[in-house]
Amino acid sequence: MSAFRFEPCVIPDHYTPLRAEVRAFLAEAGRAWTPERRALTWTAFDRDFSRELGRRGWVGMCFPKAYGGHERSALERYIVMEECLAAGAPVGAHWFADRQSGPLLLKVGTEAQRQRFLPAIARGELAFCIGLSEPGAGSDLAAVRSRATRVDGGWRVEGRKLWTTNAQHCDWMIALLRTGGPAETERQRGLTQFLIDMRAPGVSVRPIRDMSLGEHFNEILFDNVLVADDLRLGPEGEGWAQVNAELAFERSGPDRILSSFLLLPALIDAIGSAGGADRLAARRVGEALAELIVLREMSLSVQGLLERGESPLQEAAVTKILGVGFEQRLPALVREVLDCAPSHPSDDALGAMLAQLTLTVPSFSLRGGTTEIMRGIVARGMGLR
Amino acid sequence: MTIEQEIGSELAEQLDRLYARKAGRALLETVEGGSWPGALWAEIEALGLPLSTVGEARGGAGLGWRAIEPLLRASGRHASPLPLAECVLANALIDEAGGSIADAATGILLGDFELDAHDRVHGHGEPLSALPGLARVVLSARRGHQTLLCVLDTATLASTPLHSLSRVPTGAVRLDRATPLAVLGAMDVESLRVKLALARALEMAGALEQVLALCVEHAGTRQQFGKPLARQQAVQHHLSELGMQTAATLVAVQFGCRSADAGQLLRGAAVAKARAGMAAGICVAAAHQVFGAVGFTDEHALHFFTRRLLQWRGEAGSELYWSERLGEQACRAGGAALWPAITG
Repeated sequence: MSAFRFEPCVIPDHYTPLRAEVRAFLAEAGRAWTPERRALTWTAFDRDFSRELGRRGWVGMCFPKAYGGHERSALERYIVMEECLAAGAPVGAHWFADRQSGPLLLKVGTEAQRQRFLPAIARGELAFCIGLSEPGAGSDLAAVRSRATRVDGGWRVEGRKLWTTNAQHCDWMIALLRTGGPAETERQRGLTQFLIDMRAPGVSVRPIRDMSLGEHFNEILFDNVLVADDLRLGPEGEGWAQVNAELAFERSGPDRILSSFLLLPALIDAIGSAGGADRLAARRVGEALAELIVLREMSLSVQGLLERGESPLQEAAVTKILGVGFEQRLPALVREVLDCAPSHPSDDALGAMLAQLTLTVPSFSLRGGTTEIMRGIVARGMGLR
Repeated sequence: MTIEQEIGSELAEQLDRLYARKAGRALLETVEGGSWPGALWAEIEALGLPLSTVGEARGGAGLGWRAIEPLLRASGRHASPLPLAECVLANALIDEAGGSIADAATGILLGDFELDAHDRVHGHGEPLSALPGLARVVLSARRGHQTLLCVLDTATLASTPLHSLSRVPTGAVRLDRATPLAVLGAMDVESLRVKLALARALEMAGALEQVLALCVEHAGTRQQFGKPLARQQAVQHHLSELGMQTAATLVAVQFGCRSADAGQLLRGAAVAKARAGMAAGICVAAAHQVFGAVGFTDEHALHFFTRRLLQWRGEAGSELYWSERLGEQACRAGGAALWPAITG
């Protein structure tokens, strides 16, 4: 008996040349990346790198050719994503658009919206951020208050978004806004998604420095922002359903299992330099390896379900809880095996990444939905709620 | 689903039906009390289950790991006290080595054995489960640089009874100039342990499924504070952990079986047994917490499943042993080899 469907999804051998090509490119490009930068991987924002990936056809891979895409399979895209993460590539400038904004536009966008946005996304030129949380709506997303009101020729947007990753660098936001009655009574009803130009008059962005001194989170103020009606994404009132479908993409990918991966090869090399693995070191590395192999199988399995057009919210939540838990334990694992002081910056790659990740892993079980919210979704899937 | 997998699923359903009719607490108590349920085993043989991996020419179904996965998982789901998994593996090994297959309960004796020049076996075995019911065992014995598969009649084994967590009658076996029924071809020195490890992981996955089902059922019916336990968020936390760990174990054993069928038995078994063992520790604790004092009693059925899990996780190499093996290999290969090894 299992409440969850995790059927095997195996990457076929004929994709091996693609993996080799991506790996060789990243090995060359990666010479310039510092360990601290690598440790950030999918939150590190580098437009030139994203454009280079776009030139190589590795962004928007699954989009139809009519929209500048390459009509590759979801598994080919998965290969590119996981190779980028395992190499610590700075993929933040296209990651969010490639992962969820693009697929969402394909699914619910108008023909004009697709024509306008998808080709630029696939070129790696257009960066999107995800406008969900607000000051009064964190885990309780249905408490969203930012509002779009109908005016002549479109909508007037007022309110603020919070914790939006990389908003200060992005071109567009897909924002969840209230178009119906008040949050207190309407909750999940009366929400609509909009495409918002981050350079439009009335949009101001304030980066929020985090405890690692990074500035990934942002607060965005909408002060009398005018949005044309052709930038409404999907039907009025369908925002909640659209967001939930989009989140399955956000919660099950390789970015939920590999965010601290680079510690492992660095740890193995450090163990080697220190004279080889004792039993504790071998055991801890092996445990991590067994967990990671299984997590990758689960993540791939969810990809298989998404590819078949299903919306595996529960399976994505399971993968995210277990995956971020694994990512968060890796710094502790390094400490258990090696007496390695975090130092920052450092000539020592392991120490530098350890310093960076020790201070960033607390966010892993917060971003994309907290582990507590994920547990609620899992409990619902098991029929407990 | 392949034809093989369909046959495997049918065999699992047959075992489910048989256990539904014949098994239950009485059977588990009988076997744990030291008696061998000969009639039930005869029915299992009549269904052909122990021959499921044997070639079709010898009357079997010729199934691979992926195909027998549901059968061994079903066995675990019933807290099977019978050596079905061992027998399935032993028969496959004998068959592959060209030996003769018999309708006889056959076990797997792990241990350190030598075969002398007169084809006699010496050495110490690891605890052997279900010993009173076994007619034969297979073991691997060294002779010079070779490792050979030997089949022995259990009547020739000297053993002393041991207590195990599963309470299935178990013996410590010592062999001193024992004469095998057959000495078969050379084999990999580790293959018995590796195969048994994967089989135990499959049984553990089944036992975890049953523990999860019992917990969800209990938490949905037992009322406290005027509502079912399952409505308490703290209890939901335990139940979701049980659900997730069970799901991860199912994925791990599927990976194990797929790897084994693709010629990567060692890696598949190591990952499956390591992950199943991690899950067993977490789930046994969570399940007993969900059930409270009632689940700690002898009267309640929960312990049959949790004791099996605690026993099986320690057999054929614990999760700690297999993690160590995986880690040793990864550390020897170096950091740059890690990611290519994961992506295969």
